[in-house]
Amino acid sequence: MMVFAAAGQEAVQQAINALALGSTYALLALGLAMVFSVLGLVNFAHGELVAVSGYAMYLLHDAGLPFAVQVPAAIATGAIAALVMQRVVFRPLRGASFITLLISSFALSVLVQNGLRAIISPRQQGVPLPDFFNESVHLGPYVIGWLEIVTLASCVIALIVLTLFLRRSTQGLGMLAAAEDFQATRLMGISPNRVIAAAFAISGALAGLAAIFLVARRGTVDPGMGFMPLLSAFIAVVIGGLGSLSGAVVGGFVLAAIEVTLDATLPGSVQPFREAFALGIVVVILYFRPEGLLTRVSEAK
Amino acid sequence: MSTLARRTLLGTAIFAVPLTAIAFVANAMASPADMRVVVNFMISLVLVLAIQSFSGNTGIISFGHLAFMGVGAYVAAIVTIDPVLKQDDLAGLPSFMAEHSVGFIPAVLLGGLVGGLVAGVLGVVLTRMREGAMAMATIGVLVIFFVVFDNWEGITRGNTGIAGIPQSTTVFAALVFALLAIAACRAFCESRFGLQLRGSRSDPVAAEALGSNVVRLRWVAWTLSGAIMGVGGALWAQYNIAVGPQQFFFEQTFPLLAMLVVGGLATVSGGVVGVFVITIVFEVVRRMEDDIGIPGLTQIVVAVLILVVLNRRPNGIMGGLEVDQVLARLRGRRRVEQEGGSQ
Amino acid sequence: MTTATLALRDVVKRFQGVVALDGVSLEVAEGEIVGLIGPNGSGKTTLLNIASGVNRPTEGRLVVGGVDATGRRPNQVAKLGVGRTFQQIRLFDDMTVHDNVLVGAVARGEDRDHVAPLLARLNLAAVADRVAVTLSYGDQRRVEIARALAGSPRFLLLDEPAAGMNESESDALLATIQAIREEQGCAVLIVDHDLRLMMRLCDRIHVLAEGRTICEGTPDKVRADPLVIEAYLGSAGAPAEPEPAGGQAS
Repeated sequence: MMVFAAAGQEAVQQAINALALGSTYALLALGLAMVFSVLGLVNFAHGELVAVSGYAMYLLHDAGLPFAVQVPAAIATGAIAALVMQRVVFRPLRGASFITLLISSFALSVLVQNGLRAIISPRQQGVPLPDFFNESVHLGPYVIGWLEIVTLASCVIALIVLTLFLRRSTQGLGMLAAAEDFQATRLMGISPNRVIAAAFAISGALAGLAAIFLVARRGTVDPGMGFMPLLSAFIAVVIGGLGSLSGAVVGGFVLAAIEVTLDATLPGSVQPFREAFALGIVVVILYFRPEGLLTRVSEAK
Repeated sequence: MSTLARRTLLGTAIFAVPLTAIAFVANAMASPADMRVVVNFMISLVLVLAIQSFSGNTGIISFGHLAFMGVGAYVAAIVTIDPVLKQDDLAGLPSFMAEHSVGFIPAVLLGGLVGGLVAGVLGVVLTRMREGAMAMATIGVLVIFFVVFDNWEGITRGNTGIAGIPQSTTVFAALVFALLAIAACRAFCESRFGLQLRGSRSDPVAAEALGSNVVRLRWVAWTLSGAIMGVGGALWAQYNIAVGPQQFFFEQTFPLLAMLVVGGLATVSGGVVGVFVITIVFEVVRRMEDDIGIPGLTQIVVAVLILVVLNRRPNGIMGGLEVDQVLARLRGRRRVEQEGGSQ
Repeated sequence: MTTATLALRDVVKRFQGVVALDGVSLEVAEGEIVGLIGPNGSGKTTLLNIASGVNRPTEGRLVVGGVDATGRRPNQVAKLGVGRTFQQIRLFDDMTVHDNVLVGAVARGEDRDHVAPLLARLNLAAVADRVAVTLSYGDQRRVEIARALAGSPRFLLLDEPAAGMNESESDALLATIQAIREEQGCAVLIVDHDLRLMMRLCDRIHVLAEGRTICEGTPDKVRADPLVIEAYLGSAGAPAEPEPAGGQAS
């Protein structure tokens, strides 16, 4: 009975970890999917939006400004950086092939990473966060970190706000229509430039939000910090179905669930291979659902 | 002679002349540092053309090919180092592998064989996906292999990597394999496989309606390119004498893809020209980087170069043409000019 | 019934609940030229898509040369001897005319020297080395036909081959299609709005309206059928109006 209770307790804690991790992935994956759905671009430089937002927190911290200022600054930095990328790099490439866009964003990612390296420092920089994040709450038998709670709550709020915006506002409905069929936006009298800019701004803001929780978990920033989270977001997007917004969110949580489950169940000797196992499971999922979980198998016209 | 054989021979011969000249000049007078550049240039030709044979013909970019280079490199390392070293370092090897070693050519062929086998197995899953999803799934392939290289202590020595590989890749050996790669990739491109794939690259629906089994064709290209990548990795390991997981990850993927895209993804000639141009840019900027002292300058310059080339010439320097087609056009234009002048 | 037919049996096709075809049966026998006409949205292209394996029928069967091909992939249906063109031209844009046709040949295991006579046959020899996308509309349509013929199909499905052609071009197309039938012995199922062309070319005509067959028979019989006149000819009097772009999924 004791063992059973302990196992149940363990499972609940793992589930909360999975949700917190999954919500961070979901924010990034959703941003990727938004840009993909309006521009057909898989943005490799999305990870650098995370890095740039993280560095904004670092610089403000360095200037002695409190966490309460760093948070909105990180989100705004992500959004602005995304808009700049859009205007400078991707707008001139409008209509280019999938590969051209992909490789351009890959080059942009390398450019920003090395730019941060050259301008600030190749080394990790510490960004200490309020002690609050290291504390836990006791809810009955469960011990849950504030970081997990805040992460999960913020992500859920962000997703709700975004859903309301997309479903209720004219601009949002235009974006949803564009995600379905980009040509339709012209017919609806919505400016494609505004839709694309809005998609980038939202994806950047979501990346900025994700950056806050990533920095909170690590306590540091470095030029390559966006890379591993971006990889997870890529995988999440593929699991959910490339181009599906809700698929991206679902994919984020599925990937996190796989990782946390493997973390808890794999024997110690194979623990280092966890990532490989997780991706192996993803490959198996894709073998049975090559179009992803939430994409209906479409028929050629 | 068939069209395929004629184009393959011509397309290879045009590059064979300058490449052979470079090899002989390097052999006669290059400093050890310059020699490294030349040999790595030849090996890069093999690697970039391996990626081209898949991505160029299918139009699907792959970020995962360095995994197969890694497989070829580790295989070559394990089968060539002295059995005495293996006893200490590679305790996980089965005894027949621990007690024997093989020479340069068998190691290269084994690298290619295992690279092709691994690619073939993964390809069964990957080639079923849509184009965009497959490109992204190849990223997962790269990560899986990185994790394995980084952690399989008994076989790969994990993060430390394997050192003590005999340096057997000479500049002439690298030249021969580079020329073989050019010929193989050109022949594949002109073959019935390559033709159908290039059709599917531009319109998969139309290709299927003509009777092309696009999934199977992609699998063939993917497996072949994995094998060539394995050969390239085996050559690389036997020149650079040490292998480690970081050498087969994203940072090394970037220059190879840059070469391919800058030169022009669609053709073999584009790959060759791209390797040449990026190698020169890399060397020039790297020397400047040491003088100026800006870390990462090389990467920045190459990244900007890619963005500019893709903006100005979305199909790369070669613009989707093979070098023999370019020459034929130039000849045609000159003839027109001469005829115009004589009137 | 001979085995050398392409047959659709009681085919129903629904797209997310919308009925595009509602129990259509159609047969094309060896060496026959069958026309398929009907107002916009009557399901003509959907029918060709099912006959070539591009779409899977919701109900009913596709039988090619005695083999049940229902649910097979387009490449497998092509291997049974079905070639096709598309309403919205789908050439390999970045390849030359010659290479477009060559792909059609090698995809079905035909020889490379199969290509040159076909290019000559379709009056394309002069533009063989041009990149496909640079050709005029009418030339591009003929390249698509040559590419489909390169695989030596037993059944050739043509989706609006005369669209965008002027009168003399469409007359030449008529002669070409008849010659193809004579020389290659392949049957043709053709969709087009050019009734002048269809009445002269086809042995039989099949009329669709709202996903159902409303008439089937010789051109003379179809021309005289009151249902056809009401559904198709009667309303506007000038039925040759082109279908708008993008309407092919209906």
